[in-house]
Amino acid sequence: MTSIYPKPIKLIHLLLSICIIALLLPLEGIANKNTDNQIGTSKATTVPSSSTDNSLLASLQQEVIVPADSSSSLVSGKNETQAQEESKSKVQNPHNEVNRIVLWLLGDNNVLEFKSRMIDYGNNNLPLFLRKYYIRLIERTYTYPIVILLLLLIVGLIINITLVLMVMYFTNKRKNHKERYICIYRNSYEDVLRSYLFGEIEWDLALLKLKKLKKPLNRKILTEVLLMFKENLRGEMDSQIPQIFIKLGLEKDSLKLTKSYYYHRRIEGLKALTNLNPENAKEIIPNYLNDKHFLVRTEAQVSYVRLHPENPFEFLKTLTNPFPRWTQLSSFYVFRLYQVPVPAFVDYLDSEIPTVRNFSLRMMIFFQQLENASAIYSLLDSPFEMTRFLAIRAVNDLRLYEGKQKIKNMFQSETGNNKLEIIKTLKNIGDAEDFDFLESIIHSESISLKTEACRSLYYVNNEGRERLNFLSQNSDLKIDQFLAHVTDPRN
Amino acid sequence: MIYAICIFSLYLWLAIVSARELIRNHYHVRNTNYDAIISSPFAPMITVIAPAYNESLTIVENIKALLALYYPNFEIVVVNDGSKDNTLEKAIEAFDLEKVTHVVDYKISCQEIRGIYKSRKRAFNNLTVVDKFNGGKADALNSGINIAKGDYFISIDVDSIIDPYALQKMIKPFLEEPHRRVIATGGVIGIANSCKIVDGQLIEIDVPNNLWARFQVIEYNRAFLMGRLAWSRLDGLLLISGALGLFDKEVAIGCGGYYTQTVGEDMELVVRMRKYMAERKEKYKVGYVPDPLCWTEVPSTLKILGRQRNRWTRGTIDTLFIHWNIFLNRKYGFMGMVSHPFWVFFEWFAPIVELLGIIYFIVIALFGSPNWPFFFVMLFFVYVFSITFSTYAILYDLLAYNRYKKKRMIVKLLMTAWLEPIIFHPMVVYWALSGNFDFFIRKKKTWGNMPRVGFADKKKH
Repeated sequence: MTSIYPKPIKLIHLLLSICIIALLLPLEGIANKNTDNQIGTSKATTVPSSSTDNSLLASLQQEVIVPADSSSSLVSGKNETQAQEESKSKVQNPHNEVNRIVLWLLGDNNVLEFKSRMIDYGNNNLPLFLRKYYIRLIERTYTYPIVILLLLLIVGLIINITLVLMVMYFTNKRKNHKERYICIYRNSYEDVLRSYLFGEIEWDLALLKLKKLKKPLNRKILTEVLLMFKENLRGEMDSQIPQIFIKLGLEKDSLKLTKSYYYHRRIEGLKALTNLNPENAKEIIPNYLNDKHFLVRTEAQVSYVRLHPENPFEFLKTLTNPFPRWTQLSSFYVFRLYQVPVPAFVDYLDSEIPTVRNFSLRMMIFFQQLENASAIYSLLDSPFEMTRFLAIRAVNDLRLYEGKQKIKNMFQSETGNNKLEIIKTLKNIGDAEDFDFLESIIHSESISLKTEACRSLYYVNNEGRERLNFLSQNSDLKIDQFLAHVTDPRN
Repeated sequence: MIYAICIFSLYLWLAIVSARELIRNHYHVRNTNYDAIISSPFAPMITVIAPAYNESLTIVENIKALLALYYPNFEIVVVNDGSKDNTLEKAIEAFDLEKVTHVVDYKISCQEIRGIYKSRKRAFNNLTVVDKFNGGKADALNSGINIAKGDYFISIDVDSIIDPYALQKMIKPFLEEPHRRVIATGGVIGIANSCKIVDGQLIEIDVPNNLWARFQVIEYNRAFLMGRLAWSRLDGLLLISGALGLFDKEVAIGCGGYYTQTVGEDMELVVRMRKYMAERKEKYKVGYVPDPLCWTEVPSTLKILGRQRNRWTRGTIDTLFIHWNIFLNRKYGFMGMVSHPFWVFFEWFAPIVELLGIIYFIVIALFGSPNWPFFFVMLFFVYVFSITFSTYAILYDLLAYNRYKKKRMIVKLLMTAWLEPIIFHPMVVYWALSGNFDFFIRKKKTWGNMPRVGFADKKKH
C-alpha cells in the first residue's frame, strides 16, 4: 500500500467491523433520549383515543418490577394526561412512526402480552439480584418494538440457514442415492435387453427380469436405455427396439410428456417418440414446429428433418417464428448425420422470414446448387445486410459470373463487410476488366479494403500481378507490404 | 435505515431472480446438443485475445491450453504487451514462430505493433503472437481486435484456465437469439487456487487453503450466481469480467474498442457497447452463461488483494462518471433507469455510507448514550443476514454445479461464510474507501503490480 496508509489495517479493521450496523443506527441517537416515551408519542401524534395505545404506553413507562400478575398492571401506570403531556414534547420524533409500524405488524397486544410473560418469568424464576437487570433489559428492549421485529427476523434467518444446511445435506444425499439407483437399474435393464436382443432369452423372461416397471423413474430409465440402444445398434436389432418401446407402453408416457406444461418434458417426449416411435412422432411433430418455447421448436424442427427424408425442410414453409442460427446448425447436423437426401433449397428463398432465406442461401452455397442460381440475384437487393452478404458470397462460391457487374454496382452503397465480400468475390470471378475497379479501391483509405483488393488483383491472373508491380514502382502506396501480406497464406 | 432496507431488499430480489434463472439454465443445458456446433462448417469464427505482460513463467502452458479449446473455428491472438521478461522469446521457441509481414488495419487506435509472429508448423496455424509497445491491458486488447479475423472475439486473461468447452457455450446466446442482437456474453469465473492443474487443464477442484482466497470463493459465488445472473435475466448486466467475455467485434469496433484511460476497461466497454446500441435504437442483449467457464488465480495476500480491490473501485467510479449521462435517463432503458443508478447507490456509495455510519456511531458513542441493546441486536441481525446470503450462494453453487463435491469442502466454505462479515468485509470496505481516495484525491489511474504465483510454478512444488 501507499505511504498514506502506513499500517492502519488493524485499527480500521476493528472500526469497520461495526460499520454495517452503524449505518442502521440513525434511530438510536435521538431515540435513546426518549426511551420512556416512544409509544406515548406515537399515540399523541396520530391516534388520540386508542385504548390499546394507552395501555401500551402505560405498560412501557413502568420503571419498577411488575408484580407477578402483570396483566392487571397494564391498565394502571401513569394516567393519560401525564402521558399526553410528555408525549407532546416529542411529537416530532420520526421514530415513533417506525414503532407504530412495528406495533401494527406484530400487534400491540401481542407485544404487551409477550412482555408481561417475560417479566412474569423473570419474577418467578430468576434470583433477586438478577431480576433488576433482567427487567431493565426487558423494559429497554420493549421501548423499541423494532428490536422485537429484528429479533424475530434474526430467528427467521437462523431457521433459514438451518433449513439451507439441511437442504444441502439432504439434496446431496438424495442426489447420490438417485445416481446409485439409476446406475443399478440402468445396468440391469441393459443386461436384460441385451440378452433379449441377442436372442439369449425370450420376451416373457425378459419382461419378468425388468423390475419395477410401474415406477415412473424406472420407466424413464428404461426409455433412456432404449434410446441409447437405438443410437448404437444397427441391423435387425435396430427394428426390434421400437417394438419393445411400444410393447412396454412407454410410448404412452412419451405422448403424455409431449402434452406437459413444462417445456423440458415436452422435449423429452418428442425426443423419445422421434427415435423410438417414428410413425407416431410424424403425426404430432407438426404441432410443435411453432411452439412458444424456442427449445421445443428446435427439437421439433430437428425431428422433422430426421423423420421426413423425402422433404426434410418442408416445415420452413409453415414457420411463423424466425429460424435462428442455432436451430439452423442443429437441423443441418441431423440432416448430415442421417444422410437425408439434399432438397432444392431454392424453394425456400422466397420465404417471408429473413433467417429462412439466409439458411437457404447457406445451404445452396454449401451444396453447390447451381441449377437455380438466378434466384439468388434478386436477394442482392434485399434490405437485410446479412442476406445481401450471403447472396454476394453465393455469387462468389457458385462462380456466378452473371452477377459480377451487379455486385460491382452495389459496392459504393454497401456496408464495410459486404464491400470486403465483393472484393473477395472478384478474386475468383474477376478478370482484366475489373482491374481499374480494384485499383481504385487500392487508392482508397481503408486498409482492409486495400489489402483485399491487392489480394484479388494478385490472384486474378498474371496481368493483375504486373499491375501491382507497376503500382508498387510508381506510387507511394507501400504495395510491397501489402503484397508480402497477401502472399503469405497464413495471413 | 431506508438505504439499508433498500440494499437488503434488492439483494433478496436478485437472489430470487437468480434462483429462477439457474433452474431455467439447468433445463436449457440438458436439452442442448453442442455436437451440432462442434461438427458444423457454419460455426462462426471466434478470435481468442490473450494479453500477456511478464508472463514468461506460464506463457507456454497457457497457449497450449488455449490451443486445446474445443471449437471448430477459432484463432488465438496472444498480445505481448511490451513484457520486460522473456515472454515473447519463450513463445517463439516453444511454437516455432517467425516474424511475418502483416498489414495492420488500425480500426481502433493502440500502441505501435513491433511485429506479428506466426508459426512455421501447421499444427499452430491458428496462433498469432503480436509484439507491441507497452500500453496496458486495454491497449493490448485493442491491438488484438485490430488483428482479429473472427466476427466475435473473446477477451481472456492469459493466466486463466479456460474450460475447453467455453467457446461453444459462450457463442450459443449469439446464435439462438432471433429478435435481438447479442453484443456480449460473460461467464462464471471460478477460483483455481489449490485446484489441481496439469498442462493448463483443470483436473481437480478444491477449496483454497488460503483464507483470503476462500473468502473470495464465497464472494465470487455471490457475485456471479446471485448478482450477475439476475442482472442478465433483467437485461441490466453492466459488467462482464475481464477474465472471460465474448464480444461482437463489429459493435466493439463501432463504439471505439476498449478505453485505455481507465482501469475498469471491462465494465467500461460493456456500458459503452450498450450505449452505442441504445443510441442507434437497435434491439440488443448482453448474455450470460451461468457455467464456470474460466478459472483464475485470485490474490492470496492482503497487499495484492488490496491493490486489486482498490483498482476495481477506481474502475467502477471511472466508468460511472464517464457515462454519467446514462444515469436515470429513460433513453437508455433499464440500464439508465435501474442498472446505472444501482451501481451508483449500492456499489459506489455503499462503502461511503458505511464510513458515514461509523462516524455517526462514534459521535453518538462519545457524546450521546447509544442504545446498546438495539445496537447489538442490529449488529447480530446484519451478521446473520450476511451469513444467510452467503449460505444461499453456496447452496446455489452446490445445486447448480456441485463443484465442491466433498463434505469437508462444503463445511470449509460454510465456516468461511461465518467469518467473512467480520474479517473480510471490513477489509473490502477499507480498500473500496482507499480506492475512492485514490480516485478523487490522488487521481491515480494505474493498475499497480499484480504478481501471481502461476499455475505452472505451483506444480513444481
